[in-house]
Amino acid sequence: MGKVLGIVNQKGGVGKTTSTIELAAAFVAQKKKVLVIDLDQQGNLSKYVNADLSKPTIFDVLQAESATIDAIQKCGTFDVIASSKELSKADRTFTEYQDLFLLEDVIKPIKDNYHFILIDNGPSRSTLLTMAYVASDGIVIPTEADDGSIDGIWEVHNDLVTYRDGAHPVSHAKIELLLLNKYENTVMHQNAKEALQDISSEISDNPLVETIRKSIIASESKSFRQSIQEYSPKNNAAEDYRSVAKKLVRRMK
Amino acid sequence: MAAQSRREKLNALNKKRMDEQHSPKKNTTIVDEMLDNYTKASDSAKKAETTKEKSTKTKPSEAKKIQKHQEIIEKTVEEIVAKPIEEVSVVVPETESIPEIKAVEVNETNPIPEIKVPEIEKPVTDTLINKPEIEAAPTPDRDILKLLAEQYGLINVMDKSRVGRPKREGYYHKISLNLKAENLMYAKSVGGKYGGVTGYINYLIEQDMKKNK
Repeated sequence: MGKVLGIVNQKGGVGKTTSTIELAAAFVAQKKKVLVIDLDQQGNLSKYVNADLSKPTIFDVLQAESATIDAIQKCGTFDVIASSKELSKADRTFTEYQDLFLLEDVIKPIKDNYHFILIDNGPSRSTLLTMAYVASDGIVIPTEADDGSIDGIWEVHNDLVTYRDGAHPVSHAKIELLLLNKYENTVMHQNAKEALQDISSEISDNPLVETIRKSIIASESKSFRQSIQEYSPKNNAAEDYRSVAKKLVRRMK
Repeated sequence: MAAQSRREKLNALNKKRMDEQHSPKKNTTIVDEMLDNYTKASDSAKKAETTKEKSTKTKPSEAKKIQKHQEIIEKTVEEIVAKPIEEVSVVVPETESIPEIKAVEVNETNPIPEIKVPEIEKPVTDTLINKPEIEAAPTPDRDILKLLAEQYGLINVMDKSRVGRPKREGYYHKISLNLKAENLMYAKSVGGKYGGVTGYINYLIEQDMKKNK
């Protein structure tokens, strides 16, 4: 049975989309079958992987207008369900309690077809994010070294605890990984890493704390519509993502 | 209840699509479908022919001929039996020694062995080979070549000389098709005339090309 990983941080620009693409590519490098669901209304991931936006999107599937398998498209080395601008209407469209389980229903029939299903989320607290909490088995929280991003970890944790350990638990997800992006050998980054390790020890899930070294290649590869691992496999960031993916595979066995 | 119905709708839709995907139809190729069409067409044509044969009004003249022929044979056999047997002499070159053929004496102890009337086989008209009804197969309402090209990434190759057939246009030089067992058997049995299974598929595709023009 495949593992569903939600890539979440309510702060924007911390590298959620990049981490999703790179983790997907790193899992594929380990001969894992991967599906990526773009749940971010900005649709950056769909753009980066050159997804065909004329095909059914995740919004169509959530609306029950299309079956899950009809929305899956092969983009490079992994499969993708593309995002849609219509996701901005999600909060107004999916208003019922039962709607929280829609994403789980979307994933259920294809869960056995993949080793990992990654969900790229938008930078906001929304119905879609709650759906991701409900559908996920594990949560990856990418962050940068600034205080705002690190505070985002606690927000995710608190939300997840509400859904998972509240009076009516709807989620079973665990925080599996805290990922410090654009890591440099500076005092600020070292402090940030220590802060993440402290958070990890405070959280009952005891997530992994990993760093991804800063690389200009990261943004360069995006313009070529490739992951760092395809564009420059020997790059530090590519190596870091591969190592993180290996650790995640071992942890989530 | 709208939300629940959305979940139910999604689950039903997914279930339906998964069932479709896992049904054996998934394994059939376009060529399989094509062969199915042609097989059905030839079967129906065969049925039509047999019913035609059964009807007394339009009994084929060939059957009458056979009956007449059989009567003549029976008559001549009777004549031969009635005649006394003579010695038979055969002219042979000297170098070759041929055993003498002795005349057979006919008496009570040595009766003439019964001469069997040779059974006349009905001319083979409705084998799978030489099937005129293959030509009368229905035209599928789509571009088979395009679908084949999409499914197998076919290349339009003109030269087929290396497989010992005359050069002609073909679209399936490098593909390998997984045909259903029954269709493969059918194509094998019919394909003799067209140069095997590949030749037969070639022929079907050519027919489609002609009809789709």
